[in-house]
Amino acid sequence: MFAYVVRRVLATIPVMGLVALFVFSLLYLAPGDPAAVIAGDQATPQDVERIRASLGLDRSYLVRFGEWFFRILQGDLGLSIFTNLPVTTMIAQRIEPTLSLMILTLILAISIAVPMGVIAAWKQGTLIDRAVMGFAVLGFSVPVFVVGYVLAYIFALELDWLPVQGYTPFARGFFPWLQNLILPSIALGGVYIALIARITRATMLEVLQQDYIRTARAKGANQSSILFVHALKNAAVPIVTVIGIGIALLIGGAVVTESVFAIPGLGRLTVDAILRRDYPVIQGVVLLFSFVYVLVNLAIDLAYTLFDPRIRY
Amino acid sequence: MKRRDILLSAAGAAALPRFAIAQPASNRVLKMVPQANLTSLDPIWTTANITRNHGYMVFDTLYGMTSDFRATPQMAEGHEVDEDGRRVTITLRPNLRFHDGEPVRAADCVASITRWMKRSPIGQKLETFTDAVEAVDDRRLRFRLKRPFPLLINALAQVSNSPPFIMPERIARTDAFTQIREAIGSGPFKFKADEFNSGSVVVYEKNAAYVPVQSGEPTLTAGPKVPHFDRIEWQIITDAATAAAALQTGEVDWYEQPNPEYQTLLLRNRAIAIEEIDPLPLTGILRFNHLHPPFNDKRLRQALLPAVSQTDFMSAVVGPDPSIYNDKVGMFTPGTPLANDAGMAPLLGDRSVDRARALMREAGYTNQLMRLIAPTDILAPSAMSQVGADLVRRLGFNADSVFADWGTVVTRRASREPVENGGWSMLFTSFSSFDFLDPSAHFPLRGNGAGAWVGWPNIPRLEELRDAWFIAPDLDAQKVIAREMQTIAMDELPYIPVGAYKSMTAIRRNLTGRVKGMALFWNLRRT
Repeated sequence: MFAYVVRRVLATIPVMGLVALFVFSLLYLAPGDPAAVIAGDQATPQDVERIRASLGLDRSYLVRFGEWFFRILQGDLGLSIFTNLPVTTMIAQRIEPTLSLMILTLILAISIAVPMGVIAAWKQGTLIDRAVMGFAVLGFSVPVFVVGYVLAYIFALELDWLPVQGYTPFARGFFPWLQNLILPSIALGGVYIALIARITRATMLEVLQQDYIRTARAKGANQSSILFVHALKNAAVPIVTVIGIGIALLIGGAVVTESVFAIPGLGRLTVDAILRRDYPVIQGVVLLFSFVYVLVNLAIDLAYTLFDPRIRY
Repeated sequence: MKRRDILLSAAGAAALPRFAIAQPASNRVLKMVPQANLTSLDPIWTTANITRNHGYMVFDTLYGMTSDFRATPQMAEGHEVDEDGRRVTITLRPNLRFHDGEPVRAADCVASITRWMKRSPIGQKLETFTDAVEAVDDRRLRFRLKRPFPLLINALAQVSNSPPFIMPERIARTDAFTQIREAIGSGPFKFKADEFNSGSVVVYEKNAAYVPVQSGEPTLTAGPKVPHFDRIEWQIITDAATAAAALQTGEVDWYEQPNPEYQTLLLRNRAIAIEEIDPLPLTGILRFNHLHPPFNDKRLRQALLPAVSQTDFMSAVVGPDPSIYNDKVGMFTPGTPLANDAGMAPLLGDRSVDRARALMREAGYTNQLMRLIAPTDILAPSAMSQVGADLVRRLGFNADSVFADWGTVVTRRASREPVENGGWSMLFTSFSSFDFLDPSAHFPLRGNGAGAWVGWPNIPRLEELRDAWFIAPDLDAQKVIAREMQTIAMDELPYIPVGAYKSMTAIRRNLTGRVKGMALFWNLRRT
């Protein structure tokens, strides 16, 4: 097990190297010039060239990539072209809101979707099953920003129960923190709930046909025990896999959700940086997201051993 | 349901009554949603309007500009002119201090002006007239000029990007093409660097040590700048519906630039006023690329004139209300001293696509490819570009309309290549009232060929007139030159003006004393 973990962690190094190469090359080839954005309308071509030189953007691809990669190895993601702040500082400023949003969404989604899927499988073919599946289709179909606006319309503007926008750090209290995150989490969680509920239902349906479930019923085990102890544990591996894959959905959805609810997180940082071609920030954030995704997948692989003792590494 | 409908419904809901947890800002704190995110703190390094507005919070200028465009002393106590205008000595007001407690000295002003002269168009012009700028003592600085520069004091009060803000010498010695790292000025508000989170919040606090000028009325950047709020927060909200809703719930007090559709909805709320942020309008322009076909041919540029309807362009930008746009716009900002009607006939009267087509045929248009490049993420240029794309299609141009984000457009428009190699033929953009006030900062009106703004028109006579304007002895002489510049421009067409529109702002009615012109925070108070 330990050797497996070490091997997997080591394997992330070439993966991250490839991600770095890909991100840098993509940005290098993408149209757009931060020097022109900075210089503004009144600048002469010479002015733009001087700014480009001062930012080091006039150097060759290999020199720039080499320097950037060497700095990354030292843990330095560079300086933002526009704010002149270290990218690590900017990420540190923004990571709490995004992490908060994702964790709350994750908790919300799992605690709603898994019971929904289990119940839908248990009541297969009934109105409850159809309602759950209908909700899942809706969750998949309706874009995050639409859900966000509708929620803001009802709960913030009409009922005035919750704020329209913003973020309160956790350090200022649990309830203010929660108050700002409830609507964004529900908006972001819609697709995720649909995904997990569907996979839970499908897997549970398969498991509920197994002989050992019939045996459990025959020996008189109660329904909740059959569903949540015997069946769910055996259905857990695909569900956990989907939860892991869904992290990518959350990252993508966070970009939109943070814009709609004006949450100062990494998603908005990414969009802003892309729009103004702030290369070091884009590179830093994409690397971070990739790293998180790789780690989440590792964690999911390790989690399999908790649910299925037959799995050994 | 379209996305726009959703946005509208979200903001529209704001008109409904609410009861529970609206979070009104404290009476000592003002929260505002600015027009854009503040990314750079250096108003000399970048010309972004948001950074200029930040500059007016933190820094002060030697001279301020009144709303009728007179330069009046701000940090300066006054000035003396001698040696037939070739020596100008400016004396600072006593007891001026930077936010770090250091006194403002003439040496700070000299370093700041020297840096500014490297970047600002009028500063660059001033530099060509200047032998030296030097500190005489701690309170006096002196310009020694090669020849008189009548606009010197006006240049020091310039509002268009970038104003000559005064910084401490140690900061102002930074190369003009390198960004400063600190925002320490002597202005009415202090920048809270420890709370700055670009893309989220920008915080300023009142500069309690600020000593406003003692006389005059606060107009534009002139007169007493009295800060009334202890704390100003710029909340960066990029989503228009969310910003409008936040204003409705009282989470913010001021939304600087709501879109026209939200203005209508916000008007339903009696606590909110929709006002002109600047009594003078912005001007929209159609810029041609003069280097390559088809618009390197003057006759083809002129062929468009009968079909250009300023009303159509402006309606697309601000809606159908004619009180907030002007459709008889020439080369200078309507309502300012140099605005005139010389050469305007081809843009006025009945509009005719057929007449334009006939002129295109006469000019020998042979179906050359033309490319319109346009941003999708900036409201006015995007709206004007859509009208323009439709117009060139109806005129029968072999048109390729490319819509992209601003970051892409700003790079692509710098290309001097022919259309076949990725170049462009026309674009739309808009300029603030200050930019088109006079020829000093009016770079689309320049005709200096390869050195000109994108489009690169080569019209030597425009340059001669511009030079003459800088040394014109009085306003009457300036007006004569401005008329001739417009006559030539309407013939040569470095660009076509497509109308002027007012930028509106949404602000809670309990805020009074707002100084008009841009987002300025002195004199503003809650009643």
